[in-house]
Amino acid sequence: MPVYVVKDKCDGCKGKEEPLCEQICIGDLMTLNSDTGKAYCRSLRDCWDCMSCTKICPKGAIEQRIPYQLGYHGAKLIPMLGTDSITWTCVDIEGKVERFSFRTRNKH
Amino acid sequence: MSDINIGVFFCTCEGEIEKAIALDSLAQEASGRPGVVAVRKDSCLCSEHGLGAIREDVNKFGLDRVLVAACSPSLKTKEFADLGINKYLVERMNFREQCSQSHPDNSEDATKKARALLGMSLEKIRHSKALEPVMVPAVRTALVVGGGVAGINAALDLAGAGAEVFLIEKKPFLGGRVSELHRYYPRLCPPSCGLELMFSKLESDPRIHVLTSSEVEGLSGSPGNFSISIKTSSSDPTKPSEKVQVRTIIAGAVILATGWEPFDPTALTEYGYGRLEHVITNLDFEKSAREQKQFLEQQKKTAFIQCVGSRDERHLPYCSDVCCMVSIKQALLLKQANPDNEITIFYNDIRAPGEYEAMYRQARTRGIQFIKGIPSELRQDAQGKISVSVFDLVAGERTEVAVDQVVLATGMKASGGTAELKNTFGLATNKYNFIESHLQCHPLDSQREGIFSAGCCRAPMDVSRSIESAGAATAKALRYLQGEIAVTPDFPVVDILKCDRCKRCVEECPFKAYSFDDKGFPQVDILKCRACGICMGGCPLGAISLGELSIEQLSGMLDVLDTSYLGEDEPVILGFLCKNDAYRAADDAGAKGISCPSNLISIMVPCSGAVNGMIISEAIAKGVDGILLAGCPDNQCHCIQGSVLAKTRLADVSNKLKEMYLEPERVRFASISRDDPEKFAATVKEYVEELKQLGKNPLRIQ
Amino acid sequence: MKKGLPKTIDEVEEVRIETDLLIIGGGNSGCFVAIEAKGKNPDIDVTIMEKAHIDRSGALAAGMDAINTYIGEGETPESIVAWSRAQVGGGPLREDLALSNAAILNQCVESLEAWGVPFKKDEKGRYKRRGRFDISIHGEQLKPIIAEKTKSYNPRILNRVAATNLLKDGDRVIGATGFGIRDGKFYVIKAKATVVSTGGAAGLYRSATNDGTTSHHQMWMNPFNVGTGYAIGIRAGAEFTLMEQRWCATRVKDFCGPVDTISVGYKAKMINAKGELILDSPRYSHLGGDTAPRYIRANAPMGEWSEGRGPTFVDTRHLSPNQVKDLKIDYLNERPTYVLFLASRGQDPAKEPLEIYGSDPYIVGGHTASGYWVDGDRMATLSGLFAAGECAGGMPNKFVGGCAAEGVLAARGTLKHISGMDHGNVDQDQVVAEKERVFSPLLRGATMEAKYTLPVGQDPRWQYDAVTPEEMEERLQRLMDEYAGGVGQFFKCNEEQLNYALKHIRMMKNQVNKLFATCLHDLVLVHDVVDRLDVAEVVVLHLRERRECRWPGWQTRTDYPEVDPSLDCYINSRRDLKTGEIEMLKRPYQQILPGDRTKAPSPIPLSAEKA
Repeated sequence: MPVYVVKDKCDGCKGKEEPLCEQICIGDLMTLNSDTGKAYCRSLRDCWDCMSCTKICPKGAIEQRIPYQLGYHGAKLIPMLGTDSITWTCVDIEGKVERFSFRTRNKH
Repeated sequence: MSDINIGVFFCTCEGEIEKAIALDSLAQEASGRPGVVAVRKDSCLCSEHGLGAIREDVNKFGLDRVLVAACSPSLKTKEFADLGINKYLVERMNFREQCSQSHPDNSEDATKKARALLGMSLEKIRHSKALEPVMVPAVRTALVVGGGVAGINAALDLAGAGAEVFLIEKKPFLGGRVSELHRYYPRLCPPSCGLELMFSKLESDPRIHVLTSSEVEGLSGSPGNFSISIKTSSSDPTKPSEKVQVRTIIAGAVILATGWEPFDPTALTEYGYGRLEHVITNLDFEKSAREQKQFLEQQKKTAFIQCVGSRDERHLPYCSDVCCMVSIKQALLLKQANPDNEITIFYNDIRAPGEYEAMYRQARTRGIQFIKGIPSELRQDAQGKISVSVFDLVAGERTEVAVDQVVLATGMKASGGTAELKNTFGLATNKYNFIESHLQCHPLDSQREGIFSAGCCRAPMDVSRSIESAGAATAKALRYLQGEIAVTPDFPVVDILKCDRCKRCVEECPFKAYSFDDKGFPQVDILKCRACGICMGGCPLGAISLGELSIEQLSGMLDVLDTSYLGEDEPVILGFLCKNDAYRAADDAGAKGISCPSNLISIMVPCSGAVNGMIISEAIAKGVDGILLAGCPDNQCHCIQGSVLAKTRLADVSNKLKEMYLEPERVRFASISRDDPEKFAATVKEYVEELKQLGKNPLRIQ
Repeated sequence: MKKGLPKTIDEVEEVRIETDLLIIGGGNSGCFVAIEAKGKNPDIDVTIMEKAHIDRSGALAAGMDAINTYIGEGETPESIVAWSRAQVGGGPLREDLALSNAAILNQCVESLEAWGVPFKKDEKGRYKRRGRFDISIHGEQLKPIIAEKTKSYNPRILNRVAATNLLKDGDRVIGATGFGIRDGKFYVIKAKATVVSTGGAAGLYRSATNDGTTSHHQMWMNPFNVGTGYAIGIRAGAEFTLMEQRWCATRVKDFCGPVDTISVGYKAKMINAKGELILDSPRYSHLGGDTAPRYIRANAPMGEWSEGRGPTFVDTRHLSPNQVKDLKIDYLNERPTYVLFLASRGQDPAKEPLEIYGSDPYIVGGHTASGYWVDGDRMATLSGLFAAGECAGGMPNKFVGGCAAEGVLAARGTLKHISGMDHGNVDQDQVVAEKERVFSPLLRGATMEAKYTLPVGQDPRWQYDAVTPEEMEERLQRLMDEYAGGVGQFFKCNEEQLNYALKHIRMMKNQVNKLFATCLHDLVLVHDVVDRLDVAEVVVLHLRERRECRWPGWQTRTDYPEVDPSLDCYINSRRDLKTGEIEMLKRPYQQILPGDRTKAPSPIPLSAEKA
């Protein structure tokens, strides 16, 4: 399941050696293109869509997409992280918008 | 959490607060909250008796936390810091300026807002920690870089205050540019006189070590304990075998006095400097006056052209401060030496501030001509006479003057020495390469703690001001030379368990207070830190918190904020107001009776750059209708780039909201200056109206 | 492509570490090993070798929406073990391991709540039950929370280091070797005790939705768990059990994501194309219907499809809008892209039921009982070697909570073992040989000459006359699918197919010296396929050895369709290090809890529980 980096939003995490997406990817798939200074996914077919990169990107530059094998083009699933909660927006292929917001950490 | 004893104290402020807020009912509610064991209402908490009552209750009830509902937390800080409990365990609620005074029209709304504030503060205070200043040992040695008049005076002032001083100078001799002058104003005395006095004081003071032919090679360490390596080369060209010596000194503070360089007017080809004879600069004038007696005495016609290179978009866009007075001085010297000398000064404006006005008047009385207009070019004939053609703006007509020499009043540039040190010391300079931190409020800082500037490396200035600035820089530096530095415990702490080493904090810190530990995690040098919170604002994982304001506290406050505290149809705005400007403006609005909608609840932050994007997202997710980040206008931010960064981060959140089919207008930035409470109130009013149009936030946490 | 890569073995830097406890795999159970070991003995030196980054690595990467093993009111450790036993058709099941696990299960689960994971509660404040032993959580931050707790004990964490083999001193395991995925170094780690907790093995079989474009890794389990933990044990001569008991589960079709969330949590029943209830049909109702053993529930939809009654669904049309929202929130906590999947088809579960299908088979000792043969201290058959979580065999139905408890038990086992233990002696020849084995594909990649014309717009590796790891992986996956009972064959296999599979696995193993890597990421892929080959070989040998059909679906032998009572025992295997051959052996079942093993005592309903 592929993950795509929007080039106008990615700042390569300020072009340092390992952007956040590269640090967290469970499959060693996200990496920095040192020529463009932007991140990309080495192998779209190997992504397991855990969305760790999508969640951690401070610029919101990563988009999770579904392979055409599974579903049609244009649906979106966007996470927005708080420090103890997460809000998801899901848009289906007909443009219907759904939102889900729930707590992910209890405080002491 | 229920084993913390909280005391809540309401001040009626002699009725001022109570007339808009139903304090009795709030007191009743407070006493029912978990952990609240003491509640008191008083007419004047900041009075001796009021403070005494709090102290008594702290004792009697064994209070671990104190909540004070009174005037703005920016007032009476000393009073409420001395309550018999660590001052960081005291939380102030702004019930007056930003509540009862701002919302006088509808006391129900004021009470509702006060209730929401009470809830948030009770939550915040649970997470507060008792903090003590951190004492760091420091040396009582200072380094002064640059042996000109500013540097020398800094050294003398520092030694006078008890510090050991190393004064280093690149050239083999002290005195800097002043020693090149023939006379200086206002007394038209020779600089050698003043300099001799200074030199003898330097020599006789055992605490001052003068190192000439010496340069700084490198600097490391922190304020209080800088480690500086200095290279001293052989000053005697006949003894090249004398080795270069490198030594390291430890200094608590550094004053940079690396001076200035004259602007080279060759670039202004229309004036023919270097091409035409007898076209000289004001420094050339000084040199000639010193070296040749007849230079001043010989009768001739002289034209001075002001603002050569200065106030010029093509070269130095600023005013070099001294050139008007220098030309007036030089003109007076010419007149003094030979009353038949004819002098014309071509000017844009004459800048003779303060008492120097008298010199200007004197010049006019002595027959020195002043023509308002800057000549476009100089032409020299075969006899060497130079014709100066100009459009006289006062007379309104073109005029031409033939003279024997032209003195170009060239301005001051930042010196090469300053540029070299920029990298060594990690300094920030302004766009003209002068050292600068925050023009208005911190004129002598260098944007690096413990490193100050004096004299012309800071900005063009005359000798009197250079000497004054040396004294002022000394006063600032003394904090680091007492043998011990007390660091206020409001500096940031990084949660290593959450940190992913993305390095954003290290990069964005305007004061370069972060470095990496041996595992690559960021660590803050508390001596370099100014607790602006920009690191806290930028961390993508929310892993950094300030001593006085943590991510946990903010997240907790968002949990308890009732986003319908004014009713189902009224939007609620969370305002993060920077403590230097926007928060004060909001207070001021209340104090001046400028009414403001009660829809905004404010949280004071050290800088708008301290607000973390995750907290903003979380606020939206928890149902807040609008978020306002209010900070200083861009070029006035005390933390250099806080406002700029805040805007970038808000833009990121805004983009994310757009993608999520939420309204990006729910987050915004406002530049509010300290003295513009009207703008603050207007901003809030406008925002409330817009949010009413947008409707309530569709999000709430499940 | 070849810039900066070593050309000779001497250019590869070595890192040598000595530690007390080495944990291979920093997932759920691995972290619990560290937390327990350091918690009980703060002075112990603990090293975690983790292939990815501990903050999100492992099966919990996207989160988790439920803990499927919690002993609630009315249940006991014995009842959960009896239930687990019945779920696998009566066994075999190591009741000793299961009972010791159940004894500490709840406190492990409760510690997650203490660390900040939100648990759903009912009106009385008890954990809200969605199934007999299932409770619901919002686990999107589950792994980061566990990772933070682990980091707070300050173990040495080696992120981005992949384990390659165990180090041995005679029959003792004295540590392991690995290579740095980012730094390209060779790690030699000596340890007094080594715990293998690398999770299960995915990608042995082709997944149903595997295609030529972007869905190669469309599978239920984390595809980066390739079974390295099993492979290194196989190569070291440790004994394994029940490797034929593959976990083939019912999954939502195409997406291949969890379905228990829906079927158990929202009581959605399986139906076929005609709308008939599947598990209630005569074919399955005598086996318990909805409470039938898990392999029945896995096989049932496949049975419908193969007999022409597909597609199959879980019927969600009775769900209210709130329930649909809750369902989606559950998925957002575990496999968030399932919500995207539904959105990409414009599908509303309340209007259209959700399609289900079988999944490709996995070897996961936390779900079925395949894995290392271990004793009560979780020590394997090699001294100094322990297994935790999905790597430990003999006990099915561990899931997240049980694997956490396994981590705790393994930690206690290692602490007992470590006291008074020395480090053993590292055989330098072994190290040199291993370094050569690990890096030779990379050296090959750095020094090979291009032979063919460079195809424009295609992978530059096609210039070389060698084998890419992806090619070998795809070959293995299709081989296993067709000849070793993959989902493409409705899980069925016979002796001839299995022999065929073995033959070709061995041919591939002989060709691993043709694999090459042109970067460190590729080197990971090379070793992934090498490890998968070793695991696949053992799986096929076990499938062949068990000539019966005890758990159809998990293991379906068309040539031996009945249960053979003489095989009511463990089928184990062990490589003979002298000959290199895998020996098969049997071990008897030991029943501790009395009663009919195929039946689980009924749960005692909670007073507040309503249907």
